[in-house]
Amino acid sequence: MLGQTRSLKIACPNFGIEEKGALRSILGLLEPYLQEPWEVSEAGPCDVCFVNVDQPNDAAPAQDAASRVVRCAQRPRLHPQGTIHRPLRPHEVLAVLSDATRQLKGNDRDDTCRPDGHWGFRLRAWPLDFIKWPKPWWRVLACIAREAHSVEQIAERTGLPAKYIDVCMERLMAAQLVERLAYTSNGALAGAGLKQKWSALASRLLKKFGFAR
Amino acid sequence: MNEVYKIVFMGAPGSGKTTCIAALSDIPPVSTDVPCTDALQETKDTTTVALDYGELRLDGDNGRLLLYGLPGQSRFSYMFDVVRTGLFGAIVLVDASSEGAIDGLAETLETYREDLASIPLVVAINKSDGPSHALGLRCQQALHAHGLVAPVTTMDARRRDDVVQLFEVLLTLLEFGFDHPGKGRAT
Amino acid sequence: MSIVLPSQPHCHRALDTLLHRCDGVVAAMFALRDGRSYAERFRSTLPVNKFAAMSSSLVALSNSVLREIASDALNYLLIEGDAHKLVLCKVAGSKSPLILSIMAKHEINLGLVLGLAKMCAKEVMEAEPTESARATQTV
Repeated sequence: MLGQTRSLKIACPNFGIEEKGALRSILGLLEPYLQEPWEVSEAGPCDVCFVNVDQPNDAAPAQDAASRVVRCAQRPRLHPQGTIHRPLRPHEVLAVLSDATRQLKGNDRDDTCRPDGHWGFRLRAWPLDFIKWPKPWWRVLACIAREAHSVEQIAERTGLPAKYIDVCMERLMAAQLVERLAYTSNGALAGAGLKQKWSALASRLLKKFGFAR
Repeated sequence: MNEVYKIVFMGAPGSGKTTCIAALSDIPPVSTDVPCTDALQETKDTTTVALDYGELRLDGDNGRLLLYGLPGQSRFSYMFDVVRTGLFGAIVLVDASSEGAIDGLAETLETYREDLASIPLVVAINKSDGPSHALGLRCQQALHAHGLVAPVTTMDARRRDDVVQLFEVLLTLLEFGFDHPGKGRAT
Repeated sequence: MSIVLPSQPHCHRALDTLLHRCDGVVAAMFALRDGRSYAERFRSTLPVNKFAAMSSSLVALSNSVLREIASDALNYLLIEGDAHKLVLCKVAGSKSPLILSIMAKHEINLGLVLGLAKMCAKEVMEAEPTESARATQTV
């Protein structure tokens, strides 16, 4: 159980300087979304240990047995479940640290926590300058304007690569325009047929107006 | 197949509904404007008391998009029944030059909240001298107060390209944000 | 811009007379053309604001239909339902801001309701100086 408020520690024993810097930057971005403050620790005991599993034969240095290990890889699918992407993605770091906080606090009291652990993002408000954003990002905004969806679901619905969505999500998080929520559906989004219908209408209308799609 | 789609422009008197429809319609728009008799007459000669109507023909008459302009005042809320079926989106206009711009928006949102929550919605600030961050923020606050999340943007209703851009946003919402427009939403 | 209207007390008197002349009239109202009630008399509870707004919409739409189809202008609008009749007209020509709406029971002859509407409207306009005598009338 945690005592007085202290920053929780993340160790990155085999991260390069740039990657540690990137993690610090992400922690700053995620600060409004994290229940407890986290910081990167260079030495000493840690609460979570991020390990770069793309570096073979690079044994992780001794770590606190109680700390949680998070594998980081360029291709997480080739590694055990729970491995997150390198370069680090804000929404994945958020998920990992939120879960870790919950475990470390020793209770499951989290208004947004669900047993199945499915998390998504929902828009709090549209950016006032969204008109100047890349148009594909409008799809991301539209997708999460009413209900929370995971990045994977957003990618499926919008047809955009997850990396591209990450950049948009990062911008939204920096502006505190998204909230992280649990969602119930964990399968494909419904309405593919209707989506095609509206897509066809959109094409016809924009063609009429002289806009390419 | 001759398909028919509907979209509605809503807002306080003078916000630009009739102008938007006129900018897009393939036919001369029909309006039901009458002279104002209340305090509104100090800022505007006429007000819409029923609806404005225009039409866009698609693909050489293979479909039509019906454009409706509805008054934003709460006493005309029943007019929404006329257009509700088959409606796929709403554009709520805000007159940036009016002192009561946010009051007018709030009245429209209050009056039509249930319906606006279930279809793609864009809020467009019209008659602005330039980008208005403060008014945009107030519009967002008004939306939030009514449990709505919608894009807020600035435009000139007299410019067809600006109105078309609103359509682009609305269609993006429709395509990527709504499974069944008009069938309610989670709040 | 100023608007000249008949006095509300006089409008109420005219409506009282109308209801007295015909028991079958359920509701009568002078509404402003932009959808607000000016004077009303109802025998039963009716939504005043909605009735005024709807009267305004009906008259405006009817006017638009005649204008668009036949380059014509509205005199009277007659609506008949299963249980009621509704007659609407503009008061004293196209420049007046007033609309008269009368709802009557179905068994009342439509011609009678129309006649009552004309008499009521005329009574209100004759009590005040005409529009042409009032330079400030601009609607």
